[in-house]
Amino acid sequence: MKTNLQSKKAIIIVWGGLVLLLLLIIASSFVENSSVRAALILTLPLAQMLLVAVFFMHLCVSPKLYWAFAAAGLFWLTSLFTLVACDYLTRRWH
Amino acid sequence: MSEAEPSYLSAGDTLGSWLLTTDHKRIGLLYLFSILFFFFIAACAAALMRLELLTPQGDLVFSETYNKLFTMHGVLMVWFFLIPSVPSVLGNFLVPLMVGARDLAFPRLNLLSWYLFVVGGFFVMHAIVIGGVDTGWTFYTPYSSAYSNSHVIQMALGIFIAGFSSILTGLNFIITIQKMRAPGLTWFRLPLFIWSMFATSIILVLATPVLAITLVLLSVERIWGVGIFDPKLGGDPVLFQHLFWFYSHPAVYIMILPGMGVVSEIIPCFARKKMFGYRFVAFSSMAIAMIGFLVWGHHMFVSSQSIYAGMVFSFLSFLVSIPSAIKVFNWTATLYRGSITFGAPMLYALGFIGLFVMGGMTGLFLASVAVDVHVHGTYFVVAHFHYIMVGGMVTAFMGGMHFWWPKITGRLYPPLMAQIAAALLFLGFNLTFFPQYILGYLGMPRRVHDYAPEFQIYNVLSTIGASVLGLAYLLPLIYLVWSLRYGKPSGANPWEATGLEWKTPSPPPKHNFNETPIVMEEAYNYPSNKDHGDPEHV
Amino acid sequence: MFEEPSIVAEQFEDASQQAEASRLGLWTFLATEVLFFGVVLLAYVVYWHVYPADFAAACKRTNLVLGTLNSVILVTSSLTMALAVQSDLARQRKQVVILLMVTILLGASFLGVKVVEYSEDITERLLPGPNFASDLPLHSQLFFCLYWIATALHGVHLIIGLCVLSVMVILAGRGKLMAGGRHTWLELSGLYWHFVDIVWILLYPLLYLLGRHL
Repeated sequence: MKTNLQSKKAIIIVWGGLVLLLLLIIASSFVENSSVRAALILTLPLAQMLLVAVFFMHLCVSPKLYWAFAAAGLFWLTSLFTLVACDYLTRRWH
Repeated sequence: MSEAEPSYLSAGDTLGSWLLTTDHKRIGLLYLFSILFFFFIAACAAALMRLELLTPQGDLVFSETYNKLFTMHGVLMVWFFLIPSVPSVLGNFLVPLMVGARDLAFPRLNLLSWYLFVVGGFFVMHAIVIGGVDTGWTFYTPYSSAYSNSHVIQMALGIFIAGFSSILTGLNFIITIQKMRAPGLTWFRLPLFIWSMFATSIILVLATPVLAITLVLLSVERIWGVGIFDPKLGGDPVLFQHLFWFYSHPAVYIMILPGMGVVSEIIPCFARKKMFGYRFVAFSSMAIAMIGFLVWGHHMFVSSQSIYAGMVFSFLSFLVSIPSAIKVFNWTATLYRGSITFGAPMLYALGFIGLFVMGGMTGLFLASVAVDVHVHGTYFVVAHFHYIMVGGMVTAFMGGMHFWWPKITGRLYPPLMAQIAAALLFLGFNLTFFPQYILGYLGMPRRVHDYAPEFQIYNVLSTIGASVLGLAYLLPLIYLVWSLRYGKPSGANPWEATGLEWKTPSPPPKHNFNETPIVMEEAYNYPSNKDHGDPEHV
Repeated sequence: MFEEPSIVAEQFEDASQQAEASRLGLWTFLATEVLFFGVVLLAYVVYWHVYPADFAAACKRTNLVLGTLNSVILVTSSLTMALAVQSDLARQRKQVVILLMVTILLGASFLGVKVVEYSEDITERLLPGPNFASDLPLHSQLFFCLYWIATALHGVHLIIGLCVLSVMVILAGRGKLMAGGRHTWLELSGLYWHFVDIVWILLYPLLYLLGRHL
């Protein structure tokens, strides 16, 4: 496997991106429309997560197998969420 | 044949060389001794339960005691016998051998996994000894989190620790199978046992953490009196059931997939034919593992889960039966026109197929919401899962132990005794559990120690069956131990089976192979329509 | 491609197989952690769906300043960790030691801030139970149950990470990482540390921002 030969500069740029996203997330809480606000606050962190996973955790220079391992947990977590949602979204609560 | 290296059994004979071993074969044996211990305790609990159920009145034990007995039976059998049985005993022993490696990827993690298992078991046994738990192995809230006066947290802690044992074992297998296959051993040349272990390991690794955190949440709720399943705070006890069964349903596939893998090794060998539809069987293992994660709600049809979710889970549960059925068809097709002999491993494998089909079919009955409403919480469910777990899994475990016993110990056992034991198991099992289908259908609830008098005859039959079953477990214990001293030496390949594990001496040397084997043949390269007694043709 | 000198364990054929097995092994472990933390997230999402108003009210009572400070601290520690791994590849031993020590320092600061925050939460009676703040609605206690559990679990993982990094810093100081054939150990520690960062990245907006309209 090709080992990571990122430059220090690239790493700092990624960090900069993470901080920028953090500021954007905080800025989102100023948005008036509550649905837009919630959507931003829930999706922008996913972008941060991707930056860390792809760059800091070297997925960008790893074989596809590693992507599969990285995605596996998320895949099954999604199935957990989806089927539990299937129950809670169709059940009348209180 | 080089005799230079001693077998793994004689490489070091101090206690330390066993307790600090990193040899996967020795660790497999350490697990074997441990699970037999827990099996024995759990079987005693079952014996007491079956004795109690001889009469309609609850006259042998108090109901609280009975609750503790079935909890103990469930917890020990599920987590300390069934889940580790094939993976941690046969899997640990065979996976490196079958892929042509010297050991698993992480031998020290393997040893750690055994110690975690033992420590977990210690906590569970301690909880039992100081008074036990009465919630059932399912720990439903809010009884377990708020009202039970029994030692829930200690038992939960024991299971939590043992869970890490599972995770480490699964992790080890995944990496070993992925990365350490011998040259030429492509994925589709692997023994189907390895495919089963790989699929099982995916479940071990991804489902067990959910159980772990669920037990943590349960314990937090018990300790501090507040928590997320607490109805007083607006919490939902059904959420516990979602989380619990998200693990526990895939857990039953952890239990059965390895057994299917064992059967997939025995059938081609004793029918002297390559596995029919190899790729179908391989992909079915993966499909069972994946779809098995999506069906847990069928344990919750009457829990107040939404009816729409119930329908979705019902549909998915029907879907998950398909890959299992595919396997059964392929085993059958392998048997068709094979040169079948009926050695003990084969008897167990055949028993597995029949009993698994019955258990699986009744699973389909339970997957239909309408039927389940009628039989949920009755002995029908108990019969169903015992058909799969005992009729399926324990039978497969016995079959596997008999098949690989010569490899593990270098000895042969008396064949007729073994065949008798296998037949006895089949008979005793059916006598024990078939009446329970009828009981459940007629309405006898599970987890109660007294019942309406009209159910007595079936309970008596069941208890008689359990005694026969006990004998069927005892017999192999006797002759297998006997064989250690007096059994004929087996040689490297007494069954003339294919597979890398048979190409090394019995018992294998510590490092498995003198040189890394190179694989150039397909799996199950049995010559068809030849005399199986002629070694030249193997 | 450079050669990584390694001590190869006997079950492996060569160093590269060992390194790959270790990396994949750690990714497998991280997959288990995803499911582990994911359950807490699930409970959170379920109850948010069921009690949105109570959860929003509860969310407003978390300390946004301290939470945000911790986010900055942790993401910066990820930076120094990544730089440390890169420096080890470049065999810059001293830089590795410094960067690892800064990472540890940042990690410890995170914990320090958390301690301050926790004491404040206790003073404000945000611990679920009979003494729970009476001005908050009943179901806010569910929010705080999950807040305490999630942050405590994260904290435990962070502490474990600090222990691992302390060992790494000692090895780095003795020149035993890249030069001693143990670069993979540092890489794996980095993967774990970044994962701990990711968990916080996901927890922060859920616990501190979702119910707030600034």
